[in-house]
Amino acid sequence: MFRLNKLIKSFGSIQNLTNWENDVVKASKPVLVDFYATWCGPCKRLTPILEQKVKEHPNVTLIKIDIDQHEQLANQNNIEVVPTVMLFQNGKKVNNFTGMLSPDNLNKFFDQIPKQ
Amino acid sequence: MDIEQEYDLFVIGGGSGGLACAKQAAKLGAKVALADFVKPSPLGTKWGLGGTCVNVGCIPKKLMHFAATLGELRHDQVEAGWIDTQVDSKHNWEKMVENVNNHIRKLNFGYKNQLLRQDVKYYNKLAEFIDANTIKLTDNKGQIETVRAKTILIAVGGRPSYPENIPNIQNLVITSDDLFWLQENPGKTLVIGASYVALECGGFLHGIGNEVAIMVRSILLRGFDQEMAEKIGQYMEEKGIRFIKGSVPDMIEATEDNKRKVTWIINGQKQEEIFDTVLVATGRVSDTQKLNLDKVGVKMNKNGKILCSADDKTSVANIFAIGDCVEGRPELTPTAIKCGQLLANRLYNNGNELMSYEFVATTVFTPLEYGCIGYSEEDAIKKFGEEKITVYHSIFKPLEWNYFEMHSGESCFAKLIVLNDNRRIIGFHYLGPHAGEVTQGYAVAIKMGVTKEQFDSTVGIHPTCSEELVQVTAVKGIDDAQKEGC
Repeated sequence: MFRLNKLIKSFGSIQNLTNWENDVVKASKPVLVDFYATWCGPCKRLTPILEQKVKEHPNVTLIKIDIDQHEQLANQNNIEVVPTVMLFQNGKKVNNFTGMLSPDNLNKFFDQIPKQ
Repeated sequence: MDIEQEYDLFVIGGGSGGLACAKQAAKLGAKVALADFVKPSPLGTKWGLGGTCVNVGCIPKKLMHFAATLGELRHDQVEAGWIDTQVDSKHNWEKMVENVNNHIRKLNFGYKNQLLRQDVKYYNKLAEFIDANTIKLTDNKGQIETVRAKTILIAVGGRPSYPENIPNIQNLVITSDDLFWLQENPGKTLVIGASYVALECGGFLHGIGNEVAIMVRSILLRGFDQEMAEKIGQYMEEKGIRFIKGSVPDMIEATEDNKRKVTWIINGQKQEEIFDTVLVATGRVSDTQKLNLDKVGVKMNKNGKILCSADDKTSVANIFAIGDCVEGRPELTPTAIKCGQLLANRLYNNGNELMSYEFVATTVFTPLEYGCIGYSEEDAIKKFGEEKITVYHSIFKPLEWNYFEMHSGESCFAKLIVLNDNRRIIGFHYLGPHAGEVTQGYAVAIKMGVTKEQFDSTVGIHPTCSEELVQVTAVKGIDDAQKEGC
């Protein structure tokens, strides 16, 4: 079961944050970080869309962060609006957007993520 | 003890007044910190940064009042031609509360962000004075830290008070602290009180379809114009809200199925009735008890309200106080905000403007809304004398109310109180739809000293309710308020 999970992970995955250093900074593959709040309507609409896109881009990992559960992390990343989505590669933030994006713009955002 | 931080200004209380002062002071270059901590209500309700207005006051109140008015519009919709409108459709409390609470959390987040961006250090801890420059901060785990500040602002606001004659009352009733966060519809509700909190809450609960009774000891809306207060009550009664007049509860007990049995005495007779929920709205008390103010020498009146001079200074030179916790201030968000900003200007920008509480416009969001500016008729008579004023009045009917025939043609009412010797309008009273929107613009004119003749020379916008105010000619005591003819 554990091996199966590791196998699934290598094809890109969706998870809630466990550890910023390990999950985001030290990740070898591109990581999309979804800062959301349970009280935020647009967040509720965006997250499933991101989950779907990540399934279509299996080299990307989606990390979901509830800003009320991880206040310090949200402050450290200067989250002023939710949803805020950040793309990390090799430990550096290379792209980001806030709010809902149109399908076109979302596609453009994902197209810029290097495939394998 | 290890004191690590020293601030120019430390604000105790993150409500309307505290936040406004903290942000303005930081903008002006002061090193500012703010402590906000919500002590849970007796039933365990708590909330985030922003104070009473944002969390358990104006904001959720207005949203729920709006929800109720939307329900009332269903009959008008039918007559205006809409098909398939269900006039007796049910209301989903959970959905309304979820949306209201989500909006409030968005505001909590926004305020936290503002503090962060403006470099105001935010402590989610309960503050207490150690001395006039030192504050002890305790978090919800009991951890303590200490800070020092040159100037301290007390802006702790108030909390609902409970009648004292009923044992265990705090565990048997809810207050406005709880109502806006209830996860289930409160059901058949008894509201105890005659304040605007009581009438507004009773009003929207009835509007969403609940059975509501309001128990009042004597008059409605003490301190407000009593002719207007009576009309508000009359309208609510006509709508089906039951008023139990001239009574206070004698006993409240929980029944076996967790309802509330309430007993009261009226004309010497004992009455009792079962309600799902009892909402107490009999007053508010200043939240200063646990601040240790006596030790520091900050003087309060016997109700815990802090005594301040016109420049918001307490009896201790470096300690100021603003908002609901201060004696003699109106319990309003906009006055607290402005007062806080002006205080920051005086402290950190050589300002000298003091807060003025003259001609502050307010609105009561009862089922029929009431906007007012300036003197009530009683206060005008007391201050100037009956022969020194002229009262103009008018009964009117909003045009839109002519679709649905059950709308009253006599409920809406406008009144202007004019000082005879200079013809200035010193009292403005409007009872009708959209009272807040109608009243706001007139506040500018009245603050500038507008006269009745200037009102009369202003052309009205037609067809509106607001135009009534610049067309009222009937004089109370001489003419009928009701216009004749079509």
